Amino acid sequence: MPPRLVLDALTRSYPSGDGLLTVLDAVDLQIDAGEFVAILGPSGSGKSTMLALMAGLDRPTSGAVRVDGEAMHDRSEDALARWRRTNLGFVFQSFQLLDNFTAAENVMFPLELLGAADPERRAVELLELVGLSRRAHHYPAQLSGGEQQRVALARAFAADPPILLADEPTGNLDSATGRQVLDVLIALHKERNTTVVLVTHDPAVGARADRRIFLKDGRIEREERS
Amino acid sequence: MNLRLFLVMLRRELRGSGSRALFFIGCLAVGVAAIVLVAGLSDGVEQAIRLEGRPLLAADVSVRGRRAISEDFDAVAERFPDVLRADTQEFATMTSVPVPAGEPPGSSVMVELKAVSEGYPFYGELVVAPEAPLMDLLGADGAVVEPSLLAKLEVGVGETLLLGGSEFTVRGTVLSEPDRVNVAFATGPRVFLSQAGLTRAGLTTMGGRITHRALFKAPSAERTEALVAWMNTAVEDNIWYSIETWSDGQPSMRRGLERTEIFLGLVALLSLLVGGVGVAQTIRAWLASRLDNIAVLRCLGMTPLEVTGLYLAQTVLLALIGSGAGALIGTAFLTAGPLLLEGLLPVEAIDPLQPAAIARGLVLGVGIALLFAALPLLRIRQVPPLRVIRRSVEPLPTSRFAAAVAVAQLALGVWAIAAFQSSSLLIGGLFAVSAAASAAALLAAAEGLSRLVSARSGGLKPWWLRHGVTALARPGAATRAAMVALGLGVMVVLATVLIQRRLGAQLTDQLPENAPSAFLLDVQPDQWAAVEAMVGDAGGSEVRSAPMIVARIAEIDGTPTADLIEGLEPDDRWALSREQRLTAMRELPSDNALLDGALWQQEGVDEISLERRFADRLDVGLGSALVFDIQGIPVEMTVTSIRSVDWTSFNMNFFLVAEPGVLDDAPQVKLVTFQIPAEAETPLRDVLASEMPNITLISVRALLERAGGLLGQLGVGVQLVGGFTSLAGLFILASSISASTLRRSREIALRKTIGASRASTIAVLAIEYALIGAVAGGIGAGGAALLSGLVITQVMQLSWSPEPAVLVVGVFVCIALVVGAGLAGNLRALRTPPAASLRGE
Repeated sequence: MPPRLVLDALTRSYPSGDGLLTVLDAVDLQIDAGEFVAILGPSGSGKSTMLALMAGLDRPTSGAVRVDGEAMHDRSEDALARWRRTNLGFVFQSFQLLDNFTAAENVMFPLELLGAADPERRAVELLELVGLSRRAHHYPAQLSGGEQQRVALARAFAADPPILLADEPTGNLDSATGRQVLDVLIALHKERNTTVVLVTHDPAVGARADRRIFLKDGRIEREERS
Repeated sequence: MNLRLFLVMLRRELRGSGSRALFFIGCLAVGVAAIVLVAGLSDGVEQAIRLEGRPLLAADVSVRGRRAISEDFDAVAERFPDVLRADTQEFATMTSVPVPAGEPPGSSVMVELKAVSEGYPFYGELVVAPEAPLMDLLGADGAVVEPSLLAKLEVGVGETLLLGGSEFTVRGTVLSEPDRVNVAFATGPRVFLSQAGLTRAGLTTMGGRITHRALFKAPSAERTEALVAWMNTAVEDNIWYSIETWSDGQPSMRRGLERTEIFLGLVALLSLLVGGVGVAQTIRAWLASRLDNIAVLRCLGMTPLEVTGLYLAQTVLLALIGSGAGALIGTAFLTAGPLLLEGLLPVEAIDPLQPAAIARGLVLGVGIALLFAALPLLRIRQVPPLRVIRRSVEPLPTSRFAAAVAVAQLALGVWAIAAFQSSSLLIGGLFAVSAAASAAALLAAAEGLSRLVSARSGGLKPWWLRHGVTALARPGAATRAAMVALGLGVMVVLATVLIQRRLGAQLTDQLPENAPSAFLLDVQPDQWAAVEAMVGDAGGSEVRSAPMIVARIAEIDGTPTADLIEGLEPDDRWALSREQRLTAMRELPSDNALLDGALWQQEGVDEISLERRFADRLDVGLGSALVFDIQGIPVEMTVTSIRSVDWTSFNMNFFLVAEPGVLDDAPQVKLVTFQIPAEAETPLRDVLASEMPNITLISVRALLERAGGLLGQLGVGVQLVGGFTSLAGLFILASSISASTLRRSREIALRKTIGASRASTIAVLAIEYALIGAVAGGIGAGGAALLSGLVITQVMQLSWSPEPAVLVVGVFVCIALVVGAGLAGNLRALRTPPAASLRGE
């Protein structure tokens, strides 16, 4: 089976003063369908940049990003947006819930974008899965950090995407809540066989992944498998 | 994305917009309310002016000439069956009291005879005593006369007068005549006859000495316009007649009304545009607060076009709500007019329902919102979804081409809206030019200030001064946008104030406060001292007198008038052959302006000064020799100066002014003007009648009160609407400054966390805001001077001076406003503990 996600000599550089700052330096990586991969490394190692390039949120300076064999890096903004609708779920460190939407509406939104039938019922089911069915009609400002992240998880899985990207999902949570959120994420991953790529600086979080990629100075330093 | 989802998203996105949405709505509501209000007030003022002005003509249309009214005008009855007609003839003639046969004739008096037909006057009040319809009093053998005539001839009501050899019974007296405006040219007291009476008197053969008038009453202003247009094009003989509406006879009123209408329309436009500035600021601040949300929507799969469409739809929806609210507010204000404007304006003339203005307001309101929102909305496409991961990522800069297109469409849009609202391409162009010039200057100033600050402020002390100054140049300071918006807003508000002040001064100047309320005719030189004393005793003031010598022109440049008259049309013959009224004075009155030549400078000739149009009519100029026949004595005078005269000034003026001393020996009377309290008029008239019956007192109080009322009402309209716009503009500016304080709460929290005191934090903000206010206010004031100067001189055709005091005060008000509103907008952050601000609470 071909890999789900391929990074092919992926490089990202930014102008910096008189020169160029290379954040990702010719990274090669293959991730299979259904894998749970953690990207670890110190601050500035290029973890979030790699995630952004995988999601089509940024464009590489050189190299390629391929998903199921198709190149992502040269698609238009509109094409990338449409691709994200159907293929990608996202969880962020700062939750990034839409503040004018209730918890249920945040979860419904990806389904609505796809024109799915009965998105509200589906959203309630997902919120029940993450233990927040009673908070369905609350706004993000009325939820705790852990609750917001669980809503974000529910939203990320709503459209049943083949790939889920998580950027420091427990970074803004206390350890207990972080463990709780991670449990939910892993449970959903196993239930749906979603390919998960998770960025973290926390070794304890990374330890729960099937595979760990260590970045340093924009390059893969080493890999580990559980 | 389907429509249903789009609408669902729209509803969700509008939640929590709260104060910003309200402010957006308020900005547009102000402008649209002004449009509706101005339409209603303009109509009301114009109707009021018409209502008050028509009595001056006693009709909607007057056809006046020296020949009998052509039969061509009879077609009016067929073409305009809803138009009424009355006819009058006016001329000077003699009247006397009949004496028994064989007895010597009694004294005779020159009178101003006016024969009228049924319907006269169509407007204005003809006050007669006893109270009865005029035509009932006149019949075929009755006369209604001015009281002074009875005193002169020592007759009473019920007694007989001779006119044209026929006897007429005095049936009553006339106390007030609405259309008697040219009192300075009156030859004597008024006598009314009917048309049948005129025929009976045999006076219709007076030929060119009769002023014939056909008066027409139309049911509406539109019909009046149609009637005049038809007369000017379809009536073959119209060249022999003056076809006038009330405003033609009162050019100062007409100009005042035109300028007021221009001002009102301009003010509505300026309200709308200052609302647009507020909208732009609100959208900018609103979108800045939604950047994270926009990035998330992009990340979750909405395309840039879909996201832009979502916010565009919100803009349109809020614009419709704002415009609708404005239409309601404007209508409500007009409906409340009777309560609010009673005594200031004729409220019955204000129609609260203005469907055309409401429709115009809705279109312009949404148009303005879209125009001013276009540039900020354009930036939505530049919000990178990467922001969800890296929050510090700012929207990508808009391409220069796209920005240029957006600015061009804004400029063109402003011009188009200005031209549409003012119905004048000129005004639209002037406004667009002023706004563009100001915006360019503001951008340059903002850029220059940023660079200057970056380069030169390093050594400034104390530190809070340096921080306040350098804040202008920091990334994300949005100095340029704030300065342009503020400067344009100041330009609009100050221009409104400057134009309003100039127009108000013009209307006030025209008020006849110092104009005479009464005239005395036929005062003999030896009576003058006694008359002056009588007038003084009666409480009269502003007493002015001028000698009046009656003469005929006998020769022009050596050619006898009789030869010049040969072959001329009756109207032109009369101009040469009629009696002229000359006066003599050393200095010209203030409403005379010397156009050519010099006054009383030439030695060896007897000089005379002519009014410009009179000189044109006689076809004479500087150096022309005129011979006057003064009771058989020829007097030659040379034209040494030509003058213009402001005939609207209500003062006595003359076509012919002779050099002092030339006519001292000529038979003459004095024409006297003065102001007198209303209650003293009748007693003075009675005293004059008993002691000096040859003197006629003519009151023009009613005319002055009407003129004053008209101009006063125009002034009220100008002040009301101008004041509304200025206040609304200040409110919008203040609120938009407050609205754009998003980023400062975090900065303030950080300053406090690091250890800065609240006082120093306030000082930093105040300095920054004061600098912005000073630069934007200064340039905005310059733009206001430019715009107001162009409008006042090019559109209103008035003189203009810069009024530096107003501009300077405007700049200081701007600084105070920016500092006050800016600090008020940050009050919460200043009071809130830093942790709460940093958490985003």
